[in-house]
Amino acid sequence: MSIALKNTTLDECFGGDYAWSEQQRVACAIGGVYTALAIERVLPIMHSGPGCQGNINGVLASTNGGQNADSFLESVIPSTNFCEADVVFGGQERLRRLVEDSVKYYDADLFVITDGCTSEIVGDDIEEIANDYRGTDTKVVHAALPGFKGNNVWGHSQILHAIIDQYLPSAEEAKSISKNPKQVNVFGVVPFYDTFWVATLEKLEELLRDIGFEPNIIYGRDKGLAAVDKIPAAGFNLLLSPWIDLDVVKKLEEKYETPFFHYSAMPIGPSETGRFIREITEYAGTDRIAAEAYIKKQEDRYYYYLNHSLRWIYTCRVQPREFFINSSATQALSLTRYLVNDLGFIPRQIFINEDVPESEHERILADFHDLDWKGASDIEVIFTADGGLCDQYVKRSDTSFRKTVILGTTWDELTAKTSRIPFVPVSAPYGDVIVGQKTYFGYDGGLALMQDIFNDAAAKGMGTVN
Amino acid sequence: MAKKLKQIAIYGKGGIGKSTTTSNLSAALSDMGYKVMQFGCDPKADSTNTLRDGTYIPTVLDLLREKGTVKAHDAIFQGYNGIYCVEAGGPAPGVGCAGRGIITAVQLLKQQNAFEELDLDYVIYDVLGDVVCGGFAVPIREGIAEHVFTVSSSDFMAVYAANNLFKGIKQYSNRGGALLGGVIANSISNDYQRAIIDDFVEKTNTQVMQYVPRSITVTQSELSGKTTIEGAPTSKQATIYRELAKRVDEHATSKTPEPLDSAQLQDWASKWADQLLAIESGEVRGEAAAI
Ligand SMILES: Nc1ncnc2c1ncn2[C@@H]1O[C@H](COP(=O)(O)OP(=O)(O)O)[C@@H](O)[C@H]1O
Ligand SMILES: [Mg+2]
Repeated sequence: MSIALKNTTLDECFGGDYAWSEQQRVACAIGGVYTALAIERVLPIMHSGPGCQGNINGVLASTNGGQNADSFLESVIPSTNFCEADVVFGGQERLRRLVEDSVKYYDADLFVITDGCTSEIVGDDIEEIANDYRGTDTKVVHAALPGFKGNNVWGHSQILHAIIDQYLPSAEEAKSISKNPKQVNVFGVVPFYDTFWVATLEKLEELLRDIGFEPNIIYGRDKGLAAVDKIPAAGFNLLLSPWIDLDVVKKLEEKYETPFFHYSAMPIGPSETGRFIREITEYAGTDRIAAEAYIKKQEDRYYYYLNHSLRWIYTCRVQPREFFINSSATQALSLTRYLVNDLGFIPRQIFINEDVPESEHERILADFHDLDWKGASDIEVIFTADGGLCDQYVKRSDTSFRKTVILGTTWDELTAKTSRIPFVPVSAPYGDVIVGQKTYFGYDGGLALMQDIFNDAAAKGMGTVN
Repeated sequence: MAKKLKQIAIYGKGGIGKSTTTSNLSAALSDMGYKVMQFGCDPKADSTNTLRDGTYIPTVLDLLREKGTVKAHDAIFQGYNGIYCVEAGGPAPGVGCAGRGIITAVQLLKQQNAFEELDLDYVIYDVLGDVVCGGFAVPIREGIAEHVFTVSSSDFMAVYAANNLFKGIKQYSNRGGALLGGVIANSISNDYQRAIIDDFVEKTNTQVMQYVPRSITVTQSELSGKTTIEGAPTSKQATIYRELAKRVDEHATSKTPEPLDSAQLQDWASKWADQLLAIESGEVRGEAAAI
């Protein structure tokens, strides 16, 4: 991506006449397998075509911050490689054998049979195959992931629903599980698709623990089915996104009578993080004084670092003060709140590109209006499946003096380079780099984001970056 | 000089008499000296049975299932008078996609230039016509057949299937798809059955190619594993099939039909239902005799 264009602008390459209709910012529903892969020792068994995994891998993992799955590497995922013969004769029997063998040869705690568009059109019955293992010690669930029904975010939700419906105990069975009022299950993050998920969840876990909760997170290092098993015991579920996983926490409320606390953004920086801590403390009725002490301590530290570079920031040759975002609803909202409330930036257009259902638009807009800024009600939020729309807006707007920063995917980096304005990658595909333990969550995250924005602005101002 | 291959598709609802009619047509054309291939496109895979003493042949999809690849010549069998017989076959019921199966089978033979190599005059596709998925439309859609004939009785369900087929033909007509040659009216044993079909073809801008009565000769021949042409060549029924073959052979230009929409078809059917009721209850005996 950026490599091929290192010393050339897009206009030089394409003569100013190009459109980006093919830029992938989401993957097809099969991308949901990454949610299974994010839970340790859970193995997807894919009933889909050759290349399906490869396609989702690019945008969600490898080119999304150099990620790969951990307990089971992508290259060992069993797949039927659904081909024409399977379309004609049905691929169910081949899948049945594949599942039999997978169960034999893989040391996994849970197997998730997934399929894709072709097998769903033909009508292969993956449920029937999963049912072969009902009542046995081998845990097998199934989730249909036809791309014609939705993208990877939809696929993510299918996986969670499959686990809740097919793996977790029934409402009846769960009655004997005693609730732990301090336990909080965390939802709202789409692993892998949210490039920063690993570190975000690590830091979030730390924070929740610091303010007196027992966080239960199912994705990432050292969690796995032990964490999944604990889901019904939670005192409440925490949802940290405007809309993703709302259906999941609602289902858990219905099934296990677990209430949920909905905070629409993943907090970035002191204002949001402080507000989040206060609201969750109030919701759960936990120690307010301790929470305030925690906030004070963290804010002191945040401002210490800010002050530590204040002179450089104020004398930075490029002073970004406006921004475009091209990202998911969660990321866009979280970034906007920090950039507006803490850094005093002004939003230009916010593009939300994960194909949010129309029924959610109004609620998400209300979340964007909830800003410490008098222009908040006029904020321009554009829901679109056209990831290239942002490019067109940026090119048509006044970006002189490099005062405008773009936060988006590595595709948007191309736009930023052409317009020679600052850019920070914040979502999939993040780029051909290692994302490592980076996250913009919390107090440190706010600082990190501020640094990334100003560093790129300064570099562009000095002409050291094209 | 390469002669012009004439490709024909016979459609109609299941059990209406497609295979019976098609096999007799193939046999008659073959008797006229033409090199004919009959290509069964019905998962039932019994299209060519009466051309081969009542035996089944391995289908293209059977061979594909067993071997993974199929050489066209392994799927082509000879029957009565050297007629080439092919069956597309289909997946097991309730599994896979029969439509895609037809696409696969037809493409397989096309890719291997089987038709050219056999120097054929006629390829006749016998296609299950009340299945609406795209695979079954392949012989019409891809310009594989130029002429479509539909087998229909005066039974409403058969006419319904024929009308649906007309919709399909119309749909593809301006994209180089096959056009409609006409209706082969099967099991027409009395005047009002004939009147129903006549009325239908008039309303839909097509013609009747032949009225084929229901005949015990057909059944008898079939029981001995033969077409009527082979089993009872001197019968009246065989003459009817030979006449059909002659008309098909002379037929040059097909047309785009004008299918009825659902409301029109319902109106049409209920008008005929009223008339039939009147005939049966004896109310309009005099008039009925006249139609
Ligand atoms: N004109 C006819 N007279 C007597 N029997 C017929 C006639 N046409 C078809 N049949 C019988 O009807 C049955 C179904 O016909 P077939 O050709 O197999 O239908 P299709 O191929 O449309 O499913 C067969 O047993 C066949 O012998
Ligand atoms: Mg038949």
